[in-house]
Amino acid sequence: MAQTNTIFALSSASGKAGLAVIRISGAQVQNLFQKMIPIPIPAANFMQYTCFYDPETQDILDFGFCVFFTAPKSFTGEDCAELHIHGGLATIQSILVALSKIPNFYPAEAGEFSKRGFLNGKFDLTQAESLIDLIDAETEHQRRAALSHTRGALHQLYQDWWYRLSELRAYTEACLDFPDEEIPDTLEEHIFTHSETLRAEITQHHDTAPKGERLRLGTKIAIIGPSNAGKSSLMNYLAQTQAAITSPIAGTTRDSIELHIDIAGYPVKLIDTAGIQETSDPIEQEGIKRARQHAEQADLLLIMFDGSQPIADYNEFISPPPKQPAIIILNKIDQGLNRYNNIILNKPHAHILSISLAESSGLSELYHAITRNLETLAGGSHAPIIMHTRYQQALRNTLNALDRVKQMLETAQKTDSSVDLVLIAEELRIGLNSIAQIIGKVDVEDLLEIIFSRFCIGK
Amino acid sequence: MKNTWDIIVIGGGHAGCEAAYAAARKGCKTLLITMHKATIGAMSCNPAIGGIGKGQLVKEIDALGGMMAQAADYACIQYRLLNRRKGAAVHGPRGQTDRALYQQYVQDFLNKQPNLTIAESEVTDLIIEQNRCVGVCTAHDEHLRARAVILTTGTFLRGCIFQGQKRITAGRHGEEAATKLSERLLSYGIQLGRLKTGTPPRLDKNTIDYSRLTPQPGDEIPHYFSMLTSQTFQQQVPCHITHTNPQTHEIILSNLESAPAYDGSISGKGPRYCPSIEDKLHRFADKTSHQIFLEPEGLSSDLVYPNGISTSIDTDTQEQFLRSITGLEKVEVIQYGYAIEYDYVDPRNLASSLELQQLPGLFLAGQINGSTGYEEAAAQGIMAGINAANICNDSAPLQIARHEGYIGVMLDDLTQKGVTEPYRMFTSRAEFRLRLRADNAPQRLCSIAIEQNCLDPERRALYQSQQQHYAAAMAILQQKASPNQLKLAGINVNQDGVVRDGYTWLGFSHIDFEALRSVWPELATVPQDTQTQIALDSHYAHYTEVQDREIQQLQKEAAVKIPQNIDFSKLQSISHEVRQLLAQNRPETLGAAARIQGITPSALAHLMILIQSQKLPQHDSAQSP
Repeated sequence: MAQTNTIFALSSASGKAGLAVIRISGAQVQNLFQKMIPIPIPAANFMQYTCFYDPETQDILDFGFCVFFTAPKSFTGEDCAELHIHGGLATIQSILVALSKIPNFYPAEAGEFSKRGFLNGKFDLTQAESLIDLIDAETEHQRRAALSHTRGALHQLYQDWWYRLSELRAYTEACLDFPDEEIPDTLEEHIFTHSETLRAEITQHHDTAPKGERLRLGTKIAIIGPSNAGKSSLMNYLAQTQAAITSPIAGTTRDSIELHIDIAGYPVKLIDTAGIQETSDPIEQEGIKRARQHAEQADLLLIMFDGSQPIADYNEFISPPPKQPAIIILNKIDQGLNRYNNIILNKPHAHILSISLAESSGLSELYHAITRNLETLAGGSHAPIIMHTRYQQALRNTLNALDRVKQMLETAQKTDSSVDLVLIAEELRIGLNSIAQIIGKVDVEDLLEIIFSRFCIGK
Repeated sequence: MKNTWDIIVIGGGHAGCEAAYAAARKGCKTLLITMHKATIGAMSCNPAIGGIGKGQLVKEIDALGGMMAQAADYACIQYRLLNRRKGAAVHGPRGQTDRALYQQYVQDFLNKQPNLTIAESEVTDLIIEQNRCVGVCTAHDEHLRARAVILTTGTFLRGCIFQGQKRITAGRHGEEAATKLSERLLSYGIQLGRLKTGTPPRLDKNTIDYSRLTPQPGDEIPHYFSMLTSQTFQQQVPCHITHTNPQTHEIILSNLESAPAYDGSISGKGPRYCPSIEDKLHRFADKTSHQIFLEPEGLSSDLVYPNGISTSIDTDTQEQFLRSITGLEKVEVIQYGYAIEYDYVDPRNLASSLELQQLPGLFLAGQINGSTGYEEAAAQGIMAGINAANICNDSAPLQIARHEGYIGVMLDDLTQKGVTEPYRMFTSRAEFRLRLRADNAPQRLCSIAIEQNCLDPERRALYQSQQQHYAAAMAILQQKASPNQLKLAGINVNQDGVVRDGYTWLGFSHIDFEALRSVWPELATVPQDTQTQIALDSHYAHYTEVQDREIQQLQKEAAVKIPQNIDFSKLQSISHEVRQLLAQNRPETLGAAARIQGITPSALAHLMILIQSQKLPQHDSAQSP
């Protein structure tokens, strides 16, 4: 008997918490214990301590508890499991990504758990009513995440791939459905060239997707500013007050230090540029330039000045305006804000905070400002992370399909046999449907529209 | 004439014929009413049956015990398997058919059919009692009662023919339209729309210079439509190919203002895949030439059907542009091309059984539902016939799922999505087409036909022996062999040490039955068509197994029925728009609801709860002593 896919999702509420629970349901849940969990399947309904590792890299991702529930005595009526892991966003992300690497494991669609429960007759009405809220919330999160993407370049990128894949598939379908028509006979070449271009573009994007990277490796924050503004104090403050300090690691360039810390659950890579501008160059102007150059790779800039002194070199630091988001910090206001600096404070566009590291004032505002930026940069609440996992998996599925297209065309060429165009079309359909999970459905009407606008069909 | 029947079928086209035949062979006393007995089984457009997607439909009709495949085989004067060089899943059997022979076969066939009476009359009204269709009234003022009525009136509902500036109210060339029925349907709140289709001029064979044209012969080895056919019945003849040229295009373009599609007089939407030559020139202005297939209408007919130049331009221009084409310099036109605009019923008014939701007891099939093509019509006809008969037998309607047949895809598309242009079958509409092949139609549908009691003993026996051959061959192929065993048998494979069964080995592109015989000599007993079928099943197995999971999910959702009397307005917490979508489409199952564009997961969850809460009271009462 055929089986339905196994689905997973983060089930605990959004926001930073000590623990997170990931729920998995489907006939193949047991595969978890060969792929990600190194212990035998525990007795049903009993919690078992274990580590979780990545099925591909075998890296250990976290330690925690797993519970196994057997069908039909579970929430969905199918075999289910729960993973209780640490609540850090990066941990959640890595476990979700690892799950998506197990064959036939898919991120759940909104409401899919309850739908399965319903289909298996595991649904009582009171339970159902409260579920609706959950579904609505989840959907709302996804809708918002999707919305924020629609405005972004990312959405445009996916849309573009979606359209080009549709075209490719439409071209193939035209050959299959309208064989007597005058459709150019260079189809296989056409598919090969175009699918290879797409494959290259998606591969590059998939491997360097910025948010995933930031979640995995940390968002890069650089502190720059003139001498004696208090940069080192800020660095020390962030390093001391924030949890999960890893050891300072010498950077790849000889004159910067990277510090790995965790701010509000986000991994952060703090780049210390303090050394370079103050010691290595006697000409201050040159120092600023080098500092900014160095900070270019950062995702977020903290530009720091001594607020108690007249700020003379403000423009040197903020013009041309940095391409990444920046927070401007006026330190040492315990010594009084110098009145000449009111001009800077009154600039309406800049995000400016006044703090005193010495007296610990204004620091919680600074903390929130940094957190808000991290949310935007690395994925905000849980929903975008879930979305992100989904995107990554969708892109991976598309890539796999395009790989197989390539393979089939190459084999056909090598063996001088004709390729089964239906299978090429099927792979393009699979690839297109994956991207469509991000962008929206592809109806056969969309394809027909492309076919009929490109080819003069009409025998 | 008798006044009480089990089933009355109105219309003698492809839908009507299959509907009447299906109902009669399921044992219902059936009456077929047509305006003209002589036109029963007429092929009113091109003289061909089958094609891509359409050929699969014909095979499916055959597997359900219908007659179209047999009629097509009997009348076929040229067999061609389309897409032969592409994947087997999209092989499309097609045949040029002799129009007269086809019609003669259908009429003889129906005349011999027990339980079936054919009458000539015009149906003017439906008899409706307690919101149910219980019969029809004819122009002769007869009141005929039936347990179910099947309406298959094609393009006859308020049909209007356009030819240049001429307008003729007609259902087909030279036949009157049916206007009263349209009004009657409208009065029951059934939404009607307008569609357009066209047909090319018919040419006199004796005035075509074939010496200048490229012949297109049929296949050497014919691929028959019916599982019962084992021989070619008629002499086989070629088609010919010619092309339009810049001069042709100039003649048409300079007379475009006389084409009704361009002066605004036609409002109905025509098919994009079958545009008139005017449309082709207009939309693809840079093309200097279009292909034309000259198809013979029959062995003893003088008519030639020029496929590819459907037109409704004025008759003078038609003659002029035709004569600018190579081989047609002296051509005489016997019947000019025209466009026809007609009413269709929005098929979203129909249940998946093709019964009209607003008027139980009334079934619709064919072009009236917004489809086009003989095969599409016939396939709906057989389903309407079976389901109407099931009403008489008090049994549940037959549903064919999307993964079981093109018929299922079409019915689901029509009743769930509706149409914006005449609906034609394409293989790209079938997401599970890898398993919907022309060669395995009997394996997909014969068992359903047996269950439905509409398969004749001959097909039944054939199907059962095919199944036995298949099972026997699969038993042999369950045996395992190592790469080394294959090597010893002379088959070159990668020596990866993985032991596989014969079926899996067959999936390797360079391994066929022939080769495997050296490993398992007993495979020699497997008949050729079983070999082909198993080889294809194995070839596509990887994909079909992945799809099985999708199908499983669909089946689970399809199993949750939405009660007929459900009140979607109770779903107050979802948006008005979504509620309207549900009310309009009236999905029969949760699966159908999920497939409606614009239905959100949240709306589905609400719907699940509504279904559950309607069920609960019944549960309670069932449990109480």
